[in-house]
Amino acid sequence: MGEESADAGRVSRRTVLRLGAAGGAGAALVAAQGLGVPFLAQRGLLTADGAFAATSAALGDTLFYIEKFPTSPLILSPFSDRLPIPKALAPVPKSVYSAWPKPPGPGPGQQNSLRNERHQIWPSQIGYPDPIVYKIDVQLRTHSFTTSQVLPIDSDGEPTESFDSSGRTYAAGTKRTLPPSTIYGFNGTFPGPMINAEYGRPALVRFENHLDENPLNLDRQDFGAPDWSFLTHLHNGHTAPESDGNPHYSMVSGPKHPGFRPQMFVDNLYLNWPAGGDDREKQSFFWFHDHTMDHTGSNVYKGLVGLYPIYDPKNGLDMGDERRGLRLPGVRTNNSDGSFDVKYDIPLAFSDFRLDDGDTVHKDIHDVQGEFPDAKNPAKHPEWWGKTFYKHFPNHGFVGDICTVNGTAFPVLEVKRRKYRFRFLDASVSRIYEFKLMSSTQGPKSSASLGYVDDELQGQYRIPDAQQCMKFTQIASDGGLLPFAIKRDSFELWPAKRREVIVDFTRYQDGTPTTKGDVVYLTNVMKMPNGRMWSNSSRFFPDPAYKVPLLKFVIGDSAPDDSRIPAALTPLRPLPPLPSNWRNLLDNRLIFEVKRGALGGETEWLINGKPFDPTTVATSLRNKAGATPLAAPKKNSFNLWEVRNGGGGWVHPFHLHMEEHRTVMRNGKDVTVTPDTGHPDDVSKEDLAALDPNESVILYRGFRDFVGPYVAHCHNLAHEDHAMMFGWEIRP
Amino acid sequence: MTLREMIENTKLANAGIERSGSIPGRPAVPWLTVVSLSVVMAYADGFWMMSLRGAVGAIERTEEPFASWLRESTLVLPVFVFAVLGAMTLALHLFGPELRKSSTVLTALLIVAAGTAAGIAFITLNSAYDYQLQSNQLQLIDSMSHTCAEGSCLALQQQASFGLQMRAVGYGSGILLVTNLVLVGWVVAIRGGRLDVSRTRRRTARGRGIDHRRLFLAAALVGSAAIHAAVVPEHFGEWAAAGVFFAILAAAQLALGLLSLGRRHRALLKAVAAVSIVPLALWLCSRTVGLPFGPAAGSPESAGMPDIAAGVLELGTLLVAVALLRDRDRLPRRPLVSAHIRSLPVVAAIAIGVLGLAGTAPAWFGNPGSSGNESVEFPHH
Repeated sequence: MGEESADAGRVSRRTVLRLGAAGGAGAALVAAQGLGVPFLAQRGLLTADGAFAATSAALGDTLFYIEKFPTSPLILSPFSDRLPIPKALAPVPKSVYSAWPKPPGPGPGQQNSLRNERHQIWPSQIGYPDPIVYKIDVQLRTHSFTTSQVLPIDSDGEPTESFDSSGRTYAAGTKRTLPPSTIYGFNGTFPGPMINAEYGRPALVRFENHLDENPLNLDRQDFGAPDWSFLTHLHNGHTAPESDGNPHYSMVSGPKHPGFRPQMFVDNLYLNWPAGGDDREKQSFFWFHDHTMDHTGSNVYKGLVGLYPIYDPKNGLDMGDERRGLRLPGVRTNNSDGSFDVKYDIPLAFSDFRLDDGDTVHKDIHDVQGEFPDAKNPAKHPEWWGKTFYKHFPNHGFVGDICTVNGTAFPVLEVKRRKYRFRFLDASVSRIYEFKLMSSTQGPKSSASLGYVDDELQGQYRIPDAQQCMKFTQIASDGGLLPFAIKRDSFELWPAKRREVIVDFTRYQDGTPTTKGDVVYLTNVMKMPNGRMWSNSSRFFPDPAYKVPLLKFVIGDSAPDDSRIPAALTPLRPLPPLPSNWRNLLDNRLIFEVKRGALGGETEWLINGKPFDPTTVATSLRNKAGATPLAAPKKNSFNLWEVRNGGGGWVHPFHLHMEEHRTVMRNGKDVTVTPDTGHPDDVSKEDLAALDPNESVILYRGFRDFVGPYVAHCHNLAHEDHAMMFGWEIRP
Repeated sequence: MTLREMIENTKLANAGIERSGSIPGRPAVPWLTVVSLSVVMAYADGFWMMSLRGAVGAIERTEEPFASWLRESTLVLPVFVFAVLGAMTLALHLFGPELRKSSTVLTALLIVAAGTAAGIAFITLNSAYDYQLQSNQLQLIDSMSHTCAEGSCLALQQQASFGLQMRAVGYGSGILLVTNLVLVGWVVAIRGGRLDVSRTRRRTARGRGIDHRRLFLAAALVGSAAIHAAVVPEHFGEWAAAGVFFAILAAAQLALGLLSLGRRHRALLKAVAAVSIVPLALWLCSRTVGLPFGPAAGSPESAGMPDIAAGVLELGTLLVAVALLRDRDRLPRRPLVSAHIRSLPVVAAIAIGVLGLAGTAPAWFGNPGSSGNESVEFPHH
């Protein structure tokens, strides 16, 4: 080879190297633009800090917190079980509860079985009658999510083997009947009883713990409060601390424990009194759920959920009678036992679950703590095949792959051709939903049959050809009736949030009348593969293929209907006034930042950099006035509280006990003037602030009527149970 | 191979180059290449270090990761310069100043190894720090524990936390190695497969530049002065006399550091020795038996990164000053070792000075400090 050709070869090699390097860098840039930017944008992480947060999360997911969840068996006959519609719980007659060995009452020691508390305000002190008394036992029982046969499938959607409690293995492809799951239930049911309440008529509920009794000889599995304690919170009743069921109270007073232990009782007194006695503070839909410290998620998941619609009989405004007041859908029947039921007014509680595949290893930090020694985890549990699977300490949160409505998977509800009022409640641990009303000609197909795998199997069924066919008329949010009704194509439902809507089944959104036999699906269009946040929703990167039917409405005969859909400008309930000088409070507001941290070999969820300490009252981060105020407002005062999502790409449903708040600013913008389009409910009263990644809200809050300790916390229950909570108190 | 052998071999290499007459000068450090590679690896490794911290680190240190990345990567940059320079020094000795294709690859691998070692050292220190913070927090939580079925769970949880940090170091080491391999490979490729371990410096009529030993003195004294100046306010708050002492010491070290760059005087070198040995002796005393005077008389203080860094720098300046004093009467002669080896202590002094200075402001390494978010105990209801 001559010198010239050798030189030419060297030049060529260098050129190739340079071109290769430049090309590689160019390709990386293009990939970052094409894939990385949308990925970050989708998660609200398109910032310099966001890129780090995304990388940290990816590292955590792939290297440090590897999680495997089971794939639930495929329910083969969806929409064959009827939607359970709870009946109102009957009160205990006075003659009965008066004869109890420890009857309820206003005296010292009469608030619980420990005889160490009394009710802060007895109804007579506010001119109310004595409370209606209910008795609810917390019991160990079973629950079935479906009567349908199931086909065990793996994460590829392929048939797989299954097991039973006797140790038998069933070959792949064998159709099975699910075993009932073990639950902790209010009165032994899931969901628990529904108390139909009314303003002006206080209710006292004696919750009594019978979780130590196991008449059915059930296997308790490896989740739920290990000492079988419970603590019930009426979310978000205007309630004194001793009846509020919050661990800031329970750890220092009353039981002085995360919850009430077996054979203990507590009388939770719900005054059904609006904050400050102000009618504008009236709400319309509570729910009660467990709030045991560190085990709220597992106890709620295990079934401790109950419903508490509350009506307003004043001037017949919203008393469950569609002939009076606002004429909202509802036909009331007063029962002889003192309770009442309201037809066409139906609560819909959504919970998602995973059922054990018998092959997934149960592994959890709670095993390290020795809470469930009998399970001998980490271990597989084929004997629990088909029963509920739970992980106390998931990386981001816990989402199931089967969604249930009022405890039933894929229920069907035959509706009359008329208007209905639906009270939506997200009772899930972490899942957020976005609902649409859709129709389809071809109906649901199983996700497995459509070729989906892994997380895309969540929800089990999809309706590929579904189209929106009706709109919702939203009339209420967490804080009760809205100032005005809102027409909505879809709405999001975050954990613990409530939304009430009217659906008119007489016609479609284009005005076409419905006919008997028509089918409408309540469909979830928010894809949320893990407890971190959604990957797709109408607000962020809609996935048109993600249409998961949750509830099937079959339209039946026409029925009398005296209800009305409130017109757009018809006032429902005015908002409590916001002082004109509320901005003067901005500088000295309290600031709380919710953020993820790392601790003890697992992740931890913290507020202002600290885990929940039930014995302390938290202080704010330093505010603009240079102060770090204590979260201890005076009774009957008002203030601004800011809650910041500290970033990292998680969403946080942040719940503040006691009074409803009103969002005045979101991300630095005044939403009392211009509402945030992504959070239309900011204009209403709420008890839970929905925080997208990196968002902050400033809330106007009141602290009336009671004194004592309360909490505020993330209602992603996996976050709450792992310290994303802080204590605060109202001082005289 | 011992350091002595390496130095001798480097001397031979230099002599050989000059004897051959093919290169009319001595191999000098290719600073542009050294700094470029160091910057690339420091900031890339810093990215992973920050991301790992976000995944498993103490929450107090995860605020504003982008700003932390810029700050901390810059702080550790001199260490990467030291590592790359060290790798090039070794390559120069092993392969000579002109690299062939195979030796280019090996040199690149040496640089990757050195950079990765520096990166691993930092993620290890980070993990240790995170573990300390997490362990403290676990103790706090354990004090109010109520779910542990078998007594205290603290040891188990600390063990889990320790295991997590160990895994972070393990995975992080692998990630850094791959990252540095790709980046150094890319830099070599974009330069057409070339990697310079030296550049040719022609002799000039003005003769040699500044003696590296004086450069070291200047770097170490200025670094030490900066550290001492940074702690003046803190010491003023504790004991005014200490604040005055550190202020005077910092001023003296700074002045002597700058004067070291000029002509060599015996008095100057004696002064350097004095401003080195006095604080060094005081430091050793305060960290072992405690100073016999002051508010904490007789109580040993705990050592921290800033005072250790200053102590190391002062030990270095003391030794060099003594060496220069002993050399004073000898005739000027050619350096015994290559410019690469002579540059290493200077870079090391800069690195130690920067780290020590950063250590005086813990927030630079994500230390939470006081955020004003203290809680108060709840009065029982």
